[in-house]
Amino acid sequence: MREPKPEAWITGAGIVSPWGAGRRAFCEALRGSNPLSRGLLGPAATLDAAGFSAEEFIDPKAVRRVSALTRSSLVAARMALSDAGFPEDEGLRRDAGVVLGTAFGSSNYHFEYYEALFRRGLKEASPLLFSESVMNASSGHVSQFFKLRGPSITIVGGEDAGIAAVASAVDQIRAAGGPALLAGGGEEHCAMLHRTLAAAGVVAGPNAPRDGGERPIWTDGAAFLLVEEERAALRRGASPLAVLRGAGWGRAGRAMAERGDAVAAAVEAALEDAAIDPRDVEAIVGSEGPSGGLEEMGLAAALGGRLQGYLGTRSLLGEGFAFTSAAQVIIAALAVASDGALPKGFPRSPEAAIAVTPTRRGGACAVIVGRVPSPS
Amino acid sequence: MKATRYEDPIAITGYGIITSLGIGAEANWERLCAGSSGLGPITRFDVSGYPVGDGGEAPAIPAEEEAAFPSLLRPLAYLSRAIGEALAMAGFAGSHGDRRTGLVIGSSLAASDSSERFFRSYIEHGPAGADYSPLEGYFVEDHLARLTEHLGIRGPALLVSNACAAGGSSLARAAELIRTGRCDRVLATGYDALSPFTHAGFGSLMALSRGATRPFGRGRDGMKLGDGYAALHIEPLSAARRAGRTVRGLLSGYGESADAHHLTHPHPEGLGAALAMRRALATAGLEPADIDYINCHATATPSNDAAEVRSLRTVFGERLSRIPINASKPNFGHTLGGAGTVEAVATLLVLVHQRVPPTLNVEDLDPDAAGLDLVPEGRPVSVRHAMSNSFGFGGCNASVVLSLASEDHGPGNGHA
Repeated sequence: MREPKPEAWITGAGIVSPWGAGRRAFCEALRGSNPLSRGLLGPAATLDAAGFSAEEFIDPKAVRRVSALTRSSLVAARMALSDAGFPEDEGLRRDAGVVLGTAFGSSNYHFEYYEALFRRGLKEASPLLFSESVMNASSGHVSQFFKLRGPSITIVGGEDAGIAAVASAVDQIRAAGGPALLAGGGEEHCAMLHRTLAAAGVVAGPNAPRDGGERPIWTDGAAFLLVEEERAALRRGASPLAVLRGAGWGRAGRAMAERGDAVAAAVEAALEDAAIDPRDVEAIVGSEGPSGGLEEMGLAAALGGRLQGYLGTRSLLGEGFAFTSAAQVIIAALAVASDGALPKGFPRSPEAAIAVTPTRRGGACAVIVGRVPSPS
Repeated sequence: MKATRYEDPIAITGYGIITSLGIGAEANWERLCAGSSGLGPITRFDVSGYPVGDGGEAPAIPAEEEAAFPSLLRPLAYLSRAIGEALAMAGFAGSHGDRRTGLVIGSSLAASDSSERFFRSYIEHGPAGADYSPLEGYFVEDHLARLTEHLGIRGPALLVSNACAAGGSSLARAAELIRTGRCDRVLATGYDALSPFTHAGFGSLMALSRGATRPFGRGRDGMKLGDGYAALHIEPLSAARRAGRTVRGLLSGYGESADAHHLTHPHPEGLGAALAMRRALATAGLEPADIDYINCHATATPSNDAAEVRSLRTVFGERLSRIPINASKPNFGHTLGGAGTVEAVATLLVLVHQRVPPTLNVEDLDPDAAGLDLVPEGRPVSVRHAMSNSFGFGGCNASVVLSLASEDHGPGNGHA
């Protein structure tokens, strides 16, 4: 049943993080040289704490009553489209779409709506909060603002939701030949969820030490890549950053998750999809620190024990669920493109880099990013 | 638009459904054909004093079956029951513990219905004394994990939350997993439960009908909401044929689009909806003239139905009046994220039985809808290719094309 695969190219990237908007600020945060590095922001490195203002980038009218997730998503999307030089051409935008990954969506509006409902009764439901708190409100706003009339998809999942959105974009381009998709992930900080996640041991609590102590700090933001079908990108003269060579999902039961089986399955599936040997993977952008954990076990199983060139984002950036997992793909793309200043010791210009994130409930998703082949 | 017919079509070898009409495909089909409605007074949550108190509540899962779903929240137990029906029909009763079986869920609420339990505690005890543990049910990942563990699925598992088009998008993602060769079999599912969150929300948008749901009707005033759970088991036709499985129909095409117009109002000319239908026809390699039946989205709100009629006229032209059309929401309510798969199963039943059930409450059509064949009395038909449409908040649209499995496509189409 396998059809010839159209290549999926990354032609642009946009990121809004607590360390600033854009690639440069993000790379500085990765290297620890950004003045807003996490220790200065406290145990939750949030866009709010960093003073992010979407109005600096987007028509204030467009962001007046939308959620924090929508605001950061609109700015990241604009940056990715601009970075790719994607034109205003109506025909191109008619076929271009959005795939946004998120774990929690516009959760502040969601909870505000719910609280009013339960305190004051069904009659007091707010139409604005209801419509803005549905899970796909942010992807809908991105489609609307940039007049993108291709698919507008929201993938909801765990920590891997940002990578899963990129993986889904790869499949959409291969299966249906869609020419361009903004793919990535975003989250907004929510005090209620923060408390819940802290109680569950997922992130540092609001009163934790400034570096989060033993747990990752919560972070929020949005990250998008513009993923284009190779021929469509060539037709408009785009310059790719990198090629999305393969993607894979893994899912394990609880016991197997503790052995890293989901990570191993996702990485093996991505390697098979990309038709490359594990030895060709020269850089790994994981979500955890390099010592211990199911991610390391899974990677070791899938890559034959080779773990050199590992960068773990959770210890550098905190836990931002779909946002940080989408950011992992951007890091992998910047690495293979030798674009941007990445942390010392991380491989420069690897032939292929893998971005992988496990979820705490036995899932994982991986994508493999490769260097753009030289024209022959 | 370029036609892209794939050489190995996607076979549907099993399906399952639960709505307020009943549990199972047979019960739903019988009641659809009888012109029944499952809508009635809501008992699940307090609607006293609220202007709209009706909705579609699914019947309880029989006690003897409940033990099969010990660790699942109620909505997921229902979804699992629908999946079980699809698997049994496809001839899979055991474990699915391989990496080549996938699961795609379409849902508008995702896991947010679990927020109710938290807020009751939060309001009773305040922020400091609230029990935050129910919010763990807010994490979709937890639901995916429970369901995949229950089903023993080890392949890709993802949840698409595209509001009321989520079920259609679930079918699209599932088809991609087959077309890219990533999976051998995929369960494409969709669900949403009737909940105070959506009931009040649609009420606040003045989209809930105070009377009967009257699709395309003059003076229509909206919909009722209802429970909806559905699953389709899909695989490459060649594989189904090799295994000797009965092919119930084909998932021949899918198309998605965004209106890029407004978060809750459709594009007035139905621009996005028409794009989704044309894209579905293109992936099916079909022309509008090939479509013999349409299951509309038809929420019976003034603006949605008007936009949908315009989009249908744009795509199908004058031939539209000769295509039998159903609007199923008067039967089981708007099942939101479940609608795309629930109504795909209803469409598949039309293909399987070669009969169109009656559309309810269409005695007095809006002049805009003049000439539509909404089949007020059910009748036998000859249907080879059928379309099912779903449109949602965020301006997202999804259309699917289902086709009869012709003799040269396999061992049979499962005609009853």
